[in-house]
Amino acid sequence: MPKAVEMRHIRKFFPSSGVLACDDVNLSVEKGEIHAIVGENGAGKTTLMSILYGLVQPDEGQILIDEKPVRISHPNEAIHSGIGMVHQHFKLVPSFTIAENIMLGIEPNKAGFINSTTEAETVRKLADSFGLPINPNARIADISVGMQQRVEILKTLQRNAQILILDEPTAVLTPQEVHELYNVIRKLAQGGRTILLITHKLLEVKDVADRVSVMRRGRLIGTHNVADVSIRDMANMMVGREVILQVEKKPAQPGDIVLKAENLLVAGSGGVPAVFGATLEVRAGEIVGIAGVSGNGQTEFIEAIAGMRPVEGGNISLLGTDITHRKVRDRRNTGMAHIPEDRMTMGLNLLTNLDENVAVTRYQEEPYSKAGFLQFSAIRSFAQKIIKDYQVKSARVGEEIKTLSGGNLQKVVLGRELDGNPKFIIANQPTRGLDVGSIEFVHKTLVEARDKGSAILLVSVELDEILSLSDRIIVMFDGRIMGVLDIKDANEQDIGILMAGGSLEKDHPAQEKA
Amino acid sequence: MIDFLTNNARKIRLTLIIAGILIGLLLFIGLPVILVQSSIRLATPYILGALAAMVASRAGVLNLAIDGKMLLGAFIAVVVLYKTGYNPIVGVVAASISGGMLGLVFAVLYLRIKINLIILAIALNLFVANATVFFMRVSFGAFGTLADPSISGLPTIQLPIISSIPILNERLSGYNIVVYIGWVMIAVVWLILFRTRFGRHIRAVGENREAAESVGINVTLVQVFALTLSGALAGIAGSFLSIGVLSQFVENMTAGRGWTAITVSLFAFQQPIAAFFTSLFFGLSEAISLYLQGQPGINIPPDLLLAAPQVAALIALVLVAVRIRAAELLKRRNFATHFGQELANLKRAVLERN
Repeated sequence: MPKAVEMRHIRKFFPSSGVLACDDVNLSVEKGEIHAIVGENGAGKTTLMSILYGLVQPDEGQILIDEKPVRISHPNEAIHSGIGMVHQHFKLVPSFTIAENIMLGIEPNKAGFINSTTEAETVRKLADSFGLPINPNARIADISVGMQQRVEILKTLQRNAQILILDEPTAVLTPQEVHELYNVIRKLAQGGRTILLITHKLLEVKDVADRVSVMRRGRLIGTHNVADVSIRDMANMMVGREVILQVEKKPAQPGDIVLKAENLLVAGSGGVPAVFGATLEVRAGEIVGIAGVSGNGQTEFIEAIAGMRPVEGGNISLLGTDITHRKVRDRRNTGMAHIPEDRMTMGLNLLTNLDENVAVTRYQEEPYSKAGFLQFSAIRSFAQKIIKDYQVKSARVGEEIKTLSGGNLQKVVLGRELDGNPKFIIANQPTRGLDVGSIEFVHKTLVEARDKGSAILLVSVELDEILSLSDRIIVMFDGRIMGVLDIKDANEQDIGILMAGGSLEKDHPAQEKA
Repeated sequence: MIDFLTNNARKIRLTLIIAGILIGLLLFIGLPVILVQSSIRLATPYILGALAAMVASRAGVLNLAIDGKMLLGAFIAVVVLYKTGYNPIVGVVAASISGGMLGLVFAVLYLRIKINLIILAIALNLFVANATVFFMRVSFGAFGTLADPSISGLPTIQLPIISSIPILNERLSGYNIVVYIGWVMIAVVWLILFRTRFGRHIRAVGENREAAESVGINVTLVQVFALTLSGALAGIAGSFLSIGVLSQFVENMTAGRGWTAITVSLFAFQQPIAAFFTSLFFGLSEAISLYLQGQPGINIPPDLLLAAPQVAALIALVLVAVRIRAAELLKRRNFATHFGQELANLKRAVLERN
């Protein structure tokens, strides 16, 4: 089989974030196949494809297209080499028609004037030749998301793409649209085009791909024929078996219900529900972990509970108070603390000093302000207390925090959020990107908070973390809660099945979603 | 209310347009000739200025330096004609070139050197305002006003056919060339924006820059061209103020018209034809305000009338914002109803199965 794409020894290091996104990656894609690239968020699959499309330059490595070495330093060169990319967020002009979008940049014209009849006709012929009916004169703003994606695919085909990269193509589609997309992909592959499918939905891989490459933490773990591997195998490869960090903790003593979410309905992008009928209880003195492959609604679920995303249906109550539509401040005053997913942008303000960062959640209360004036001595002694209690190394009261390491920054967030024993704590990816020592500290601190009676809701992409910290585990897939497991009965295999949309009663994935 | 507005958006818009045309026609024929004429004259800098703002906005750059470019155009037109005896048309051309050059400088400073857009615009406006005063004194020894018999104003033009039709002749014919350039430019800008490749790239860049980039359009180049064209249009608008009215340059003679032109362009939703009528509306209220000042016994404060179009623009912008918000709310409500129902059905099915 001739190779359409070969990527050899690709390495990419991002100095600003200190992430080795691609570590000696070797990828080989045959002509005419549908090749899925799977991995967690941050596994490096998007970076790898951005390198292939010329959006990112690798530090090392070689790319071969049709077995000839090429240099791709700009998307234009990728297009020239016959590579097309359909981005997860479409690059379309909403007020333009379908034809205008497909022909943007390559308009048929006479002395600069566009002949829109020829244009529409060209697009219609193109669409018909691939069996993808569209109305060339419909406006992008008026058509469905699935149709917009079709326009993106046609855009690459009009530019004669032989290799199509589809980045998370089903993320915003309805089940019917997903089905149609599969047919389109299959048809294109049969016509000799090569499809690269970036995804973290394993069901999708089983449904449509010929071969699959699994990435984890910047490395390509392996490439397999899809027919030879089960969803469970893929899930195991994706999540990996890392050294399990032992967390010392006593069995939980769950008390009263602190947080209750019922039949939650939350919108995602493109008018598709991100959370569909999720119900959850968290009791005082227990840690409930949410497991799931990223992009299955965990983020939206957490944001809805934290008050950062509107709730379209169902309700949330905290300590018996209905907080479904309350502001973040009201929720915090009721007893909620939130360790957000991204400490650099959401958790902290790196442009200001330690004092303001720790005071930001309580500056309106006494003793930190009196009669509308900030009380700097009180704020300063609070900052000092956090440095001491949470062992924030190399931090000084009143000084900037942007030079602190990731672990110390997270300690600042922990200190601010956990001080005063909040009744309910959301911990979203609390140890992402931290060193082992800091991870242990975060884990220990969370367990201590639990033992003091806090109810904790934990989200993590690290299954190990979920398994070692949680007292109960809920698994999310496609916006739904697939199952609730007690830590005593939980094991990686079962969670893997649920994460892939399967059910524990039958040992195969559930096909029906809606 | 929300439902009504959203579902009948098209009908409401159509009704408003028809009502507008009828009122416009009525005013056109019914108002005293002198008012119609002065409205059309006063509208001219707004027409050209709004087109200038529009071309830049369509390319995704909020051009707040229109006023400075207008003022430069007004000054250059007079300077070129001063003691040269050139045809005043040369003044118009020079004004448009100087405006275009300033537009180019603006583009390079903003896009290449990446100066903050707002600060850059304010700096340019202040620079032109003070530089014109400086050169007026140093080069021409003029204080406040630069006038000279050698500066000939633009002659009036009698349109062929139209000048022989009663009612239309005195209302549409007999203006100077910049008035007609303004009318022609409405059509030209419309053609460029909606019928040419360049115009389509301008709109693509302004609406979704990434989309334009992803198909290999040179976004910076498109914006540089758009800003240069924008400057040229503003320059022509300026030439009307100096040699189209009194054949003289007066310190800071734009008197904020460049800013009003930006409002006109916003009010007209960046549509050339709508900008034409909006400019006429602004011109009319200015004309009425001037007219009433000359009428003894009428005690409406003229500033109030001058403010009327600005207030109307503000109201229009608020309505647009409300409409966008209403559409969002409606979308959320439909989502909740649709998927809430689906969820309920699913629950019922599960209950029945068990």
